[in-house]
Amino acid sequence: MDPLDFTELVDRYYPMLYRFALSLAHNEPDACDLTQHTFSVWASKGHTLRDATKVKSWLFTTLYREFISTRRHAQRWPQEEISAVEHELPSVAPAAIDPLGSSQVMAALQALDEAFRVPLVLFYLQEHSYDEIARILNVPIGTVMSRLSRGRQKLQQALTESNPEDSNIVRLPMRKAAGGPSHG
Amino acid sequence: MDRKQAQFILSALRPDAPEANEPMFAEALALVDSDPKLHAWWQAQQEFDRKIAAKLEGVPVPDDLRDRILAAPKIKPFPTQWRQRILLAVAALVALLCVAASFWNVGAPASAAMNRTVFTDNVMVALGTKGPQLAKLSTDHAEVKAWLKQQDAPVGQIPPKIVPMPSIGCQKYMVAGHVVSLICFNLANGHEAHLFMVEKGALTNPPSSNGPQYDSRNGWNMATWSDRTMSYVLATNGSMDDLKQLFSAG
Repeated sequence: MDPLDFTELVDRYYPMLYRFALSLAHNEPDACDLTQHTFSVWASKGHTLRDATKVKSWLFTTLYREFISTRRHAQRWPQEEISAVEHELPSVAPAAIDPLGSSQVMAALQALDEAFRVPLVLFYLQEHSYDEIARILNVPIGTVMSRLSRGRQKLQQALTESNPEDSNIVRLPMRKAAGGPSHG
Repeated sequence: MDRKQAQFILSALRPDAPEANEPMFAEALALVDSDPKLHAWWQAQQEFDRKIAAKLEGVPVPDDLRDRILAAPKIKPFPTQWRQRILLAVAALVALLCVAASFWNVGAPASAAMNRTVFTDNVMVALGTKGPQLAKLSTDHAEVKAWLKQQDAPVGQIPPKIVPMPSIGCQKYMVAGHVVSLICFNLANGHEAHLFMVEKGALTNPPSSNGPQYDSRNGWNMATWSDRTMSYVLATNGSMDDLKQLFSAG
């Protein structure tokens, strides 16, 4: 894609950027503002990006930074290793998701602590690998992996609680691990 | 890798994603194939992830958002063709000036030496909080040094106790007109060490040649020293005691 085709760029990315923004801002007007601002920054500075393959990450990074700077709340991202994730990892029976609407799933995501929500939403937008998410959020890869693991668990718990008649949780007994693949 | 580690790793793997071929995921997926319980968990998690992703994709986007974005005033960057022409013109001009300078034996003036504070401040920027970005990854010292030499970056003496440690990679920086080299190492204690090297003459006040001086900044423990021709900063995320051990006798 020609990186300078602004309309095509907007068409390709604005829905997922808006959904990411909505998960951050919790309301439509602020999410729209964040999305618009991101493209506005692109329009003025995007030409400085030399690698066209980085456009997507650039847009998500810009939106996230704008959110952080607007809110002026520096969320701390403590580094976590695999040994910190000591509890079991349950899985919700996927059928439990079917009756839920998109807005319910978004609400469940929005209810998560930001530290878990942001990497999880980027993950579920399915546009970014774990290392791209780490770069967007400027956190170590190990932290992203930990947040994805624990965030998914919290999301599953939230969805199960919001849908109590289907609490078919499969738990897998776990052993305590000695180390992990974190990088930092 | 045990079951828990495999679960942790697979939690970061998107359904049908290309990164599944990375060694870390491949190893976890191999365990999935041999562990029925893990296999059942993985199947359920993938389906869960696909469904959540589909629900997220179903979140409606305001009808007028696209039009509002496109209607906003925007500064158009130069078309690519023009940018390329301008860059080519600038490159040609620079080349012409270089040729002219060599013809008249003028040469570019050497960059003025910088204060050591400027150097260490830039080291801190390069380190950040997570460690520096590397241009070349290799566990082979010779390969790393060859890359730096190819980049006309200085390579000094690696402290003897680090020599047996595998390198992670290297990077080249420009600080106040001077080339700074970086080689990163994996230490035996599981921490990393980042060795920055600059020509001693690049500093107005190079560190002492009588052994390392120790300091801590921004969570990094650092040793600073010089030898006959080079100045060094070795930074580690390990403890100060571990750092000092790297320079102790015996």
